[in-house]
Amino acid sequence: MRPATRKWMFVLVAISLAYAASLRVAPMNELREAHQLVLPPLPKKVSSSALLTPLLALGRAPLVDYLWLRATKLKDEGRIFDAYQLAQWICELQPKFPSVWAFQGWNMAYNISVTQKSAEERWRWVRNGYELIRDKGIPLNPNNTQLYRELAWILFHKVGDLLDEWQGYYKLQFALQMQDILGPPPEGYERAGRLAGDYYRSYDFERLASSPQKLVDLLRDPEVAAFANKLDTFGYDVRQNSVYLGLIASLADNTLEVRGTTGNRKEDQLVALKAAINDPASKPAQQKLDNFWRAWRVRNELKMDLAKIVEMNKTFGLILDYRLPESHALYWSVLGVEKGRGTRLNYDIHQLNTRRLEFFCLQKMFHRGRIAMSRDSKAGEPPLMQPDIRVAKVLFDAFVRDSEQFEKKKNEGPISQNFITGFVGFARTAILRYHELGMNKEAQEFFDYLNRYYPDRMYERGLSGFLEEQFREDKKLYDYRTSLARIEAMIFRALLHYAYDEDEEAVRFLKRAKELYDTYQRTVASPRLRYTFTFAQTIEQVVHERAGQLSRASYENVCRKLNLAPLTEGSTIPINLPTSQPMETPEEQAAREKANAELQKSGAP
Amino acid sequence: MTYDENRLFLIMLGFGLFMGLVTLLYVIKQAFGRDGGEVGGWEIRGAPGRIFAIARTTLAEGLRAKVGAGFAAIIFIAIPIFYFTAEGDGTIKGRVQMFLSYSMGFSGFVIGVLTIMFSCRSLSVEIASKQIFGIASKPVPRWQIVAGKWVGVMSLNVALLTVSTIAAYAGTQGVIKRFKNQLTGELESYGGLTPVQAATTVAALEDVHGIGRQGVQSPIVDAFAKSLGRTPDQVADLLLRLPEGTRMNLRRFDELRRHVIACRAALKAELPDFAPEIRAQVDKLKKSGEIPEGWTESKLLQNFKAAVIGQFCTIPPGPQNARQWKFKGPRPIKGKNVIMSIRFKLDAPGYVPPQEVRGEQLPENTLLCFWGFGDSAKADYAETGEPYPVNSFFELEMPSECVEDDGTIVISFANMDPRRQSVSMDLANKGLEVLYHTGTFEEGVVQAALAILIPVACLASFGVCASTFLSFPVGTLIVMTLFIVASSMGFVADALAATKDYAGANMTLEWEIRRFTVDAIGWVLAIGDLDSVSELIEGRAVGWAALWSNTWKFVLLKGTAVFVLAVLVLRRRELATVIV
Repeated sequence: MRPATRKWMFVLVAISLAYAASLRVAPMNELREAHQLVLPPLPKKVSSSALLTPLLALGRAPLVDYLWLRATKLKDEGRIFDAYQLAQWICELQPKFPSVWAFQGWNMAYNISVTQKSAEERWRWVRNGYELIRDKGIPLNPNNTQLYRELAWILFHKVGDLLDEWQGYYKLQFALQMQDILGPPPEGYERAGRLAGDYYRSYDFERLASSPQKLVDLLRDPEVAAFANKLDTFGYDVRQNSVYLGLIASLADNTLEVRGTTGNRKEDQLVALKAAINDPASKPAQQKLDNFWRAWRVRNELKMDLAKIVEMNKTFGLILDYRLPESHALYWSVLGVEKGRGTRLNYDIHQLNTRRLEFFCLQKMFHRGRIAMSRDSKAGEPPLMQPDIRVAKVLFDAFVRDSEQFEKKKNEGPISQNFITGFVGFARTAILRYHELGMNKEAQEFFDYLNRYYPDRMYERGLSGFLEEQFREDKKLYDYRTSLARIEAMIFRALLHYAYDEDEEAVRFLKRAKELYDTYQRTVASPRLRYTFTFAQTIEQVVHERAGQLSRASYENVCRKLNLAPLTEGSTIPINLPTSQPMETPEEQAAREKANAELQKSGAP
Repeated sequence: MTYDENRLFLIMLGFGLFMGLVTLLYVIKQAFGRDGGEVGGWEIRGAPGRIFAIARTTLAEGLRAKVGAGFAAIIFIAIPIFYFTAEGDGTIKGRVQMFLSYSMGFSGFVIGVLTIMFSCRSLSVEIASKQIFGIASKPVPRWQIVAGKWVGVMSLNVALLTVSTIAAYAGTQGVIKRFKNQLTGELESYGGLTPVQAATTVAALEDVHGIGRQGVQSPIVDAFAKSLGRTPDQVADLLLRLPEGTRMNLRRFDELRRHVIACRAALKAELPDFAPEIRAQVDKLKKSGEIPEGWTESKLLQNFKAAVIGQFCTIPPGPQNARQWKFKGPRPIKGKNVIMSIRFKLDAPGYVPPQEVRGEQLPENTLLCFWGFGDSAKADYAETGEPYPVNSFFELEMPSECVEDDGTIVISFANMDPRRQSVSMDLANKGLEVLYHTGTFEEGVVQAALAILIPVACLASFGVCASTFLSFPVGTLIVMTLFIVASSMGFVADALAATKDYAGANMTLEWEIRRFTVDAIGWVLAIGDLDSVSELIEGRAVGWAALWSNTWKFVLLKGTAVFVLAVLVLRRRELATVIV
């Protein structure tokens, strides 16, 4: 064979082999995907690290070491001006090392944050911590449950729990950010029996989820395009992020301005702009724009999938209030468990912990998941957290479901042996809460369940007997000082609820305070020990005395609701309860104890 | 460290010293041996012209060899990258600090490496390629050749550093400008201001003066109110509509103005002279014969000194334990726009739990302390108190009125924390300082750049010296190693367990040897002791006095010594073999 022929033959063989090999690429890629050996496509925002990694293949290790040393040294010196950036670089140089992301996020949220003096500084570091994991770590490691768990834990524990002394500020900022993203309740939303907070507890996420994901798709809608063009003439390009939502906010607080004009023309233009916005014909377009930009913020700022939120709400049978960090923690936990499914690990501790977190979130949401924002929240007044009765059923189902899943040995009742103490405590609290809210059917259902599966002597006298037992403390007769302190504490809780517009709850507390007051006055042994002031005077005294614990706006809100004149700063309280509190003689004490015993025996409500 | 480890250390140290000695003898033998080459003079007449000519050819050669261009490219690619990627801690202050720190620090490092490579090849390559014959055969004294090489290397350094400093300065302004543009946009979109209003409001940031205050009293609110024609409360309402991050950034911007984009001098609290007291205690112990066995007098003195200073720096709780310090500064410029502050670090051992006192919550890891400024008998005396964080530095602004006319500043401190925890301040290590503005930020940048030049100048001397008798790769490797060791002496001392932390109660002989070794290496290799970049990002002036002191120590003294050594070596070096 001639050399030239042989050469061409080799070329032909090479081409044939290359072609044959190329036919296997697609099946091989499918196999890689099936066996989770393929990297997910990188989001644009984090793709720089993907470039950095191969580029730094040679010098990456010493560079990472240097960055770790520098980060540690600067932290020890209390200089943290580049801690966030260093953490990012360290992580981006090892993007597929989830423990590094988890550590850096945790380090910022827990270690660096506590070195800061002010609440705002601390909050920034807590945010830096969870945002690093959420915005950068998870997109690069979307199937790693550990990162979801770490993110959920920071949200649940650092932001949502009570451990940190500035947790009130964190909760406030978190809720404010969410309110800003989800938008205020529409005009006229608040009315009797419906609070502003209910808007977020029944938020229509489906509306946002169905909104187009791309602006071009939205602008294909002729109504939207026409409205956007119209606003262009007033200097508002609503195709730009935050312009439309800013415009609506300005309109709401009456600070709307027209751009690009001056003088008299400005006034005319302003009137025209307002007319354009208030034109009923433009309302559908406005709604679409509103949906689009809010959905855009949820997807881009919170990195959350609206379809998943809707799906979760359907699964739980409850619209989660996303102003709560626990709701976010629950979202990321659920997602983490889902994404981690199908891994080859026989026993994944991160999955187990993430499942536990779901459970913790529901528990916390039951105990303090009803968030009420102060009218002065923007000035820094922390939110009021109360039990959310809506979660009781969901938590109950979770107890039953998780018992089935985690129980290795079947017990007598439907609840796992590990959960029984927690479950019984929860169920009893739920019964009391249902009863307080007048939801007696639900209270009875819970009571029957408890009585059937976990019988106790306290259930023998039925639901009413059980409730009496639970409110025994309220019936007890205390001495002058203790009773007054309890009444005042109850009144203050009522005031707090009035301040946060939770009027129904406030009335309940006032009623309980009144009952305590009446019980004392009625049963006190000696007339000498009776209160010489009325219940109304006590309320007035507490309102003015505790005004310092509320913001000025909240204090005035309370005064308005109770028909009291708010005091100006520096003025004295008009009513003064007696400062000297009479002491009981031994005979009076004995008489009180006797009366107490009789009261308890009679079981009178 | 165990006995065996100490023995190994001593064996290794002995071996190291032996090898060092052998190397030194070899170098000396090579330089001054019988075959050492010709001897030149120390002629000064006509020196500047010849030095300049050699410097020019050195510079041209460096540029031709693309060394300078390569390193310049690294710097000028890196600075824009820092500009676009600098996030710091996410605030404007952190961003500026990070950009300044990385751009100036990186430029300094790269120029240091360039200096090593450029200076190490300056003579060695010429000798190896025999280009040196062109100069050596002319009546140019050897010292002028060495000086010319040094000047050539430094010319390139100065040029590069000037351009990189200008770039860093411009970048800093750019970062600030970017923040202002973002603020303008948010004032329009969130605040509902017109573009003109937003631009005027942001421009008012230039008019912000005086010390920082919280909330509505902030000078920023005041400046915005004036520019918008609104009341401070209305401005506060406007700011409340901005995202929380932006509001915080505005506060950080104000801090940036006061604490970073500034040029501040620092006065350290001075310790009283405890020598007589310590001496008396040692004498008393001697008289009573209670000196522990094996303790030398110097060890006793050291222990007493540590105890007395520790006691002085520790402030137990209660008003009766209040302390007072006097600082002596320059005559003050008084006025409401003068910013003075104290910077301190309260050291508290362990965790300080939170506590509620009369309805007020004292946060964890804080201590309730009071600071007094000035003479309490005078009207200008001011006092402030709140829970301050422990174990981290804190800066507190003080009224400039309390400074005496002669520059004396009296600072009082009382630890009033109800948790009964003692607190200490490491006065010897910047535990308490008074900071005051002395010049402009630009002045601070210039001083920082000059401070970067000092170690570079010293390194150039080392490099040129190495190039007189070593080949380019060997010289570069050695000087680079020395540079790295010199830059990480703290780490070396820690690795060799030679820091105070390892001294223990009884300072052993082994520790003393280790400490001496590390100190000696540090002293020999030191090329500068100014951390100018750290100073710059905290708005501190390096200070002309410190610059001069460093120049004197590391350029004029050490650099000249190395320079003389280089000249001696070159004079004795055989540049060409005589063939008869």
